This record gives sequence, structure tokens and C-alpha cells, in this order.
Amino acid sequence: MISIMLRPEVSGGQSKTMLIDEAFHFPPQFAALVEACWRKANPPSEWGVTPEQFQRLLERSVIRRFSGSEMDPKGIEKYLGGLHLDELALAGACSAGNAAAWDFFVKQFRPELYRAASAIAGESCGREIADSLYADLYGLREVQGRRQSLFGYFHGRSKLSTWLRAILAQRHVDEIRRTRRTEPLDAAENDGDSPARKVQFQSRSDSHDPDRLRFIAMLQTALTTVLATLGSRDRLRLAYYYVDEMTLAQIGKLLGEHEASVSRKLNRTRQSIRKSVEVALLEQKKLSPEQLRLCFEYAQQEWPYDLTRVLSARD
Amino acid sequence: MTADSRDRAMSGMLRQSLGNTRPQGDCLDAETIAAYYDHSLDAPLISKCETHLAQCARCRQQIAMMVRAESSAPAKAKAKITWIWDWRFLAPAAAALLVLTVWGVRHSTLTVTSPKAPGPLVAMSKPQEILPQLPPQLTTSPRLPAAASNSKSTPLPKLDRLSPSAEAPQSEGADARSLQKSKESLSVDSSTATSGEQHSDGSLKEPAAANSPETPLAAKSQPSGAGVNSPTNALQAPSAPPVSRSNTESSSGNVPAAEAKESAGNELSTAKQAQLAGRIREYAAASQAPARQTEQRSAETIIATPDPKVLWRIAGGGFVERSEDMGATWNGQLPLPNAQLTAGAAPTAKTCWLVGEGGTILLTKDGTHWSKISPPVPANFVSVSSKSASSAVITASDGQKFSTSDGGKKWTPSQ
Repeated sequence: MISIMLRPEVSGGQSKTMLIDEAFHFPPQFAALVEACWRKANPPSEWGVTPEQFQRLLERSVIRRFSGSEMDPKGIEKYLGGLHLDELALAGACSAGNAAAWDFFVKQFRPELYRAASAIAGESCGREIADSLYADLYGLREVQGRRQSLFGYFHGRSKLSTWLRAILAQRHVDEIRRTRRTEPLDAAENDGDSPARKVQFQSRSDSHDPDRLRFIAMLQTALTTVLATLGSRDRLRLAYYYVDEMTLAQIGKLLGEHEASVSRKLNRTRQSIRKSVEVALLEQKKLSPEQLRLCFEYAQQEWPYDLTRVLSARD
Repeated sequence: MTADSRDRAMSGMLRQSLGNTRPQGDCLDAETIAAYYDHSLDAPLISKCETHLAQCARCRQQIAMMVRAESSAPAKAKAKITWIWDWRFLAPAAAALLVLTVWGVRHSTLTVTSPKAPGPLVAMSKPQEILPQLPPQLTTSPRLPAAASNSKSTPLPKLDRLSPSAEAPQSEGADARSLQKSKESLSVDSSTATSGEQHSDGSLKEPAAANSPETPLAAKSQPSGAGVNSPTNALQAPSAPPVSRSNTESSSGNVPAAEAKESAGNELSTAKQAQLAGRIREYAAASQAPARQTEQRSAETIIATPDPKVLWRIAGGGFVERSEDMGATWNGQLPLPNAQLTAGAAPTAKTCWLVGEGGTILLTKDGTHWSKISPPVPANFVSVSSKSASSAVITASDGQKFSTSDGGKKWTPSQ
């Protein structure tokens, strides 16, 4: 992290906050900090990035992050210290259309771009998404006569490769949601005898228990209420595991936890949810133990997705 | 019902409840998601992001894709041996090195004074002399390129775009044992063999183990995920061997290694010859491919049909390929993008059942159009056997078997 002492006589011995708006420029006391950032970025001369241009990149990054906020110099200093300055300089040079910078980007990042696109969206779809992104990075689109490069949206808060993956993922998800390509295939639409159908859990609706639907509804309501009381992180951990089907290791990496901690917390959360649901049904809904048992049994029949067994085998 | 059973019973409800939420506020932009992913956000922002992510399936889906994309990166590119720089390793290692050095110096000093006569030299045979030649059936097959012998300049058959090309095949996904036998049977200059690993500039690295295509297959550790399944790492394969996923009574079936080994020494059946020829050709192509970006493909699974000319092949990322000329050329299809397909069975030349992870079951009756079949349970299926387009038996990863006699409309548990 880049750290530099601001002149106390300028700041009055105390941290003075600054309003960050679209017109923000670094005050003079930031000159040394900006210089330190420039040295750390150390862009090759052939990229054609001047210190002034680089300062503008830093200012845009600060604006992007803190726009509308009052920030003290220490906070800005800490923020700048966490930026990926070398990649920010590269993005700036590519955005300006510098050939040497583009050569560097193509050599260093393009293979990874296409590999990630292929991993995200498959071979042919990934290729299309990657080509489209590559064109947008170059800036084939023009707005009011000015070439707009997607690099203008990179502000150095993450690695450039991560940012590229995020854009690829975002575009693919939006494409999926737009076209719903995971829904029934062409053959299902054309072939009247096709057995293809949407993947749905088999609903055992042939039960003759008249209370079945009522029990399921009560259990669902109780579960929804309990889930609403969960902390965001616990809820996110559950969602990553049950909905997104991530492994414990992947969840741990995202949340900054050890794999064993993720497992332990998932188990604890699940047990806590179950107990809360049981209490709600027994005490509030006045169900008997036998009726409670039926609730869970019907739930298992209605949603027989034994994810625990599947994922535990995978984990 | 025990507490543990109730916990499991809730799994389905949790999945449904957690997946049906609606976020409040705008979705996270790509830059914020990337910064969150890289742990570059400060604590208040992380909390804000996690609150949104807990409710937003769209944003979580993006993150899940990023996780899979990173997981599919070449293993060596990701592996960083950091322990070697730990002082707890360096200190004793340095001490041991010093002791060895001192001992070595003293030992060499002593031996200088009493030189010994050199031992007899052992003549080493040239590597190419000890490699067995290809069986005559294979070397004379018109399908085999001359590269199987020794020529680098013989052009390989032009393949379909979606097939592993002559320039950039991916051999890691092939059956390890079959390729091992193939390699032993070939006298191929493998100095330019590829392993799919790349330098940061996109050029391929020299493979670590003497261009061995039988790179140990690492177990896959990631799930299919959120309905969008990514191809596995080029250097990885499903934990179970990619061959013989279907039951023995099926009319399909991949080439078991033992059977390939036996066939190599004996007269080959036409279908098996075609399969082995295809594998050898692809290995030869892989051995001579120039360094360039390779396709990312998962384990290759060949599915034979009653017609010896017609073959199917699972090729990762949801792709399947079909050949009508015994594997000389392949035409790719994408029945389900990003599906993690694990096995298949082809009771006729145009009928093919495919199964995979996350309850994936696919069926084609005309060799072109695919239907997605509802699974009996949303489990990972690892094998399928079939006698017709109506009849099939699928096996889940936990051993459960289900059979159908109406083309998948109804499944019943079977033994």
C-alpha cells in the first residue's frame, strides 16, 4: 500500500474532508501521492501515458468510487493504495488507442479472455461473447463522434482479468435471461411427441391427505419467515450452496472463509433454521409432533432434491 | 423422522425459497462484482454487496460463472508454491544443503586421492528402436495419417471446426489408458506435443512429463452450478474414468482400456479399429500440433453405435459430436450449452441418449434434434444403457438406477 504523510500545515493538523463530485481534481497536497502512484504503475513509455493522463485516471477512479460523498484524504490515500495501478495505466493507454498498449493487452489478456469466455458460455457462444467484448474494448462504438472504449469503465479496483471475467459473465447471464436458452430445446418445440419437458421436481400430488397442501404451505411460510431473519452472510452462504451449487471451497474463497468453516456454518445455519421452523409450527401453529413429521415428509416428497447428499459426495 | 432427515428434507425447500427472492435496489455493476470477487472492497461495501447478493440470483449467477471460469484455468497457471519461501522450510533446507555441501566437498577431496577405474559403459539402445511398430491394420489404414509413423509434414485430415483440429487437439481428455497403449504403439516424434498449458503470451508450454498425453487426470471438484455448466479444465477430467459409463448389457459403450489393449495385439473388430484409429490419429495430431491456443475440452467419451461408421463423442461444454465415417470427421452439436455430460448410449445410428450432471438427460431420435428429458431425481447421472429410443436405464452417482420404457416420460427405480 502506498502511504505518504500529508503536510499537517495544509490539512490544519486534522483530516479535512473533500467533496467528491464529477469535477473532482486532486488538491496540491496530493501531488506526492499521485507521483508515488505513477512510479508504482510505471507504464512503459511506448504506451504514451503521461503523468497528467494517469492522474486523470486516478481522479476518475476516485470519482467513480466516492461520487457524492465527503471523503477525508486518508480515505482517498487508502483507496489509491489498493488500486491495480499498472493495469489502470494499461487500460488508459488502450482506451486512448495506443498500439503498443494494445499489443501488450492482446498478448497478455486476450488468450485468457477467450478461455474464460469459453468456460463461461461454451465454445461457440463464448467465442461470440468474447469477440463482442473485444470489439467493445477496442471501441468500435461511437457516441457523438467519439470512440467509446469499454476500458473507460475499468477503474483499477480489481484485477483487469477479473473485470473482464465479470463482464463476460454479466453478458452471458443477461443473454440467458433474455433468450431463456436453458428452457425446452428446439426439438421439444418441433416434435409433438417429444418427451422433452422443463426440468421440474416430480410433484407427488397423488396423496390423499387433505391437509397436505395446508401443511406444505405452513412449512413454507415458516421457512420464509425464518430466512428473513437470517444475516446476509448466512443467507448468502446458503444461496451459494443450495441455489448456485458451489462447492465449499468456492464459497470459502468468495467469503474469505476456510472450507471447514463454511461447512460448519452451513450445518449450523441449517439446523438453526430447522429448529426455528419446528418451534414456529409447534407453538404458533399448534401442530402436533405427528403433524410436524408429516410437514417434513410432504416437503421431502414435494421437493425431493436431496442436495445435501449430492453436494456432500461432490465436496 | 430424525433431525438429520428433517435437515435433508428441508434442502429442497431451501433451494426453492432462496432461489425465488427478489433483490431490492439496482444490481451490482461488473466493476463492483469484480472488486468484490478480488476482495478489494472495504468492509461496508462488502456488507452492502452481500446483502444484495443474498437476494439477487442474477448477480450470484455472474459470480458463479466467474468462479467456474477461474476454476477451469490451467492448473499450473494457478498453482503457486508459496510454502517453499517460508522460513520454516528455508532454514532447515539451507542447513541440510550446507551439510551436504560440506560432506560432498570432503568426500570429493578424499576420492581425488584414490581414483577408481571407470566402470564399463552400458550401451543404450536408441529410443525409437524399442518402440513397437503399429499393428499392420493400423499402419495401413487409409484413415491413419503418415504422422503415425514418423512424418511431421504429412497433412492431417481437415476436420470440422468443432472437432479437435489437427492444429489444436486436446488429448488430455482422452481415455488415459487407451492413449497410453496408443503411445506405446507409435513411434512419433512428440517433441512438439502440447499439453494445453500456456505461457502468459498465449504460446504453449512444453508439457512437464515428456509430452505424455496420459497426464494424470485430476478429479473435478466443482459442481455444475445454477443450470449453467462450464467445461472442465483441459487438464482435468471427471473423477470417474470416462470410459464404460454405460452398463455392459447396452449396445453402446466406450472402448474399455483392457479391451483396447487386447485388441491392439489381435485382429481388431471394425468398430473398435475405427475407434482406436481415431484415437491414435488424434494423438498423433496432438503430438505434432504447433504451439497455439488449444480448445478447452473435458474428457472425451466415444459412444459407439451398431453402425460401425457412426460414432458419437461427448466433447465438453455441452457439446457432442457425431461422425459418419468412423471418426475421420466430426460434426458438432450443442444440445444443451454448458451441460456437463458424462455418458451416453446409442442403440441405433441415429438414436442417442446422453446423461450428465444436475439431472441432465438428453435424447435424439434423428441424430440432430435433441430433447431434454425430465429426470426422476435431480442427481448426477454417470451412466446410461439403452436398447431403443423408448427404453433406457440410467444410473446416478449414488448408485440409484432408474428405467424407462416410454422414452423418459416416466421413470421407475430399478435394481
